[in-house]
Amino acid sequence: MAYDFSALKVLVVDDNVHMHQILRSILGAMRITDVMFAVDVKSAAEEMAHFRPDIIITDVVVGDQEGLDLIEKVRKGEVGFDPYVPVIALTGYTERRMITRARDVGVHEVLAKPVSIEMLYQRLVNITTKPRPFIKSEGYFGPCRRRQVKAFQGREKRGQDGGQEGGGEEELAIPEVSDFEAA
Amino acid sequence: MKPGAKFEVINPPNSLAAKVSPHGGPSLEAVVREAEQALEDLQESYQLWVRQDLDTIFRLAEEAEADPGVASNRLQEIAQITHDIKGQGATFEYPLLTHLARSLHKLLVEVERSNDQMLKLVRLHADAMNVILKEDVRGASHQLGKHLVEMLNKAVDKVVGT
Repeated sequence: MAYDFSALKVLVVDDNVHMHQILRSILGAMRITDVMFAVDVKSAAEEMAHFRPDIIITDVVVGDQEGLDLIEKVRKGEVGFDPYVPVIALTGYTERRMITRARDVGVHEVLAKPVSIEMLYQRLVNITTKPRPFIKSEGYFGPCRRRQVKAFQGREKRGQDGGQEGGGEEELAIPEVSDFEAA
Repeated sequence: MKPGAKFEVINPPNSLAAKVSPHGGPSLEAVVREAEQALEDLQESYQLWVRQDLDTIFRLAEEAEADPGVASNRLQEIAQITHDIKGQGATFEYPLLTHLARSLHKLLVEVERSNDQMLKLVRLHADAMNVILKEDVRGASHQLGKHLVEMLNKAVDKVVGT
């Protein structure tokens, strides 16, 4: 497949401007050029309303705030225009707590930094071609978290650092949960 | 939700299906090739970014040493910088920078109070990162680079008590 992502509008939320350049390069190679960048949660919230992105890529921590708090507000309909908007969370933190929190606020995908080109591509394919239903329960609103995640066999030379991160998809895969099994 | 239901399944409209075609775009191989080339073009800028970051780390470490009252704040700033280096080094083919930054970040987040030993280790990590840049050590197989990472990892483990 040779997916044409060129019509997508993407909002990137990261306080590190170098990361903006990295993502601009990677998304540009995917022909995604309609990209807006925000360096803090406040401007991200404003961009969501005006720019109306199709997909949000956010660091889990933006400055001294958690980017995930922003996503929680999006899902609650307090910020942005679409509570169903797909979200990819980027993280340099591999702590379980952070991954679990990302899952619990309703992100679609979690990716480790350094960002792998192939994994980001694969995540975009997943989001756009295999949309997951949303689950609304007392304690959760977001994409269905029951999902089998398989390790992606990459061929790129970048984005790997010897197996501790970047190639750590299985570590970072959103875990399957059984909290909806009983119902 | 229906009364008594524990959850509701919602199938939101898939507006992206109309925007993304499985045909007509570049192949994955072409995407990787082009992105790697674009990142290669950023390589020089990246080296400059890290040099500036290292200068900042040295300055912050000096300030922390000179004034214990601001040490905690300065070390937090250093932790943020190392967190960013950790997340970007391997993208630019400097995985050893990522390893060194990870080691330094671990030190900074796991040791609660600054001390001389900690500040010395901050400098040693920054020095090691300088060497990686100066010698343009790409990849993870450089013997001296690997040795530096191992030594500093051990030192950090000793200080944080793992």
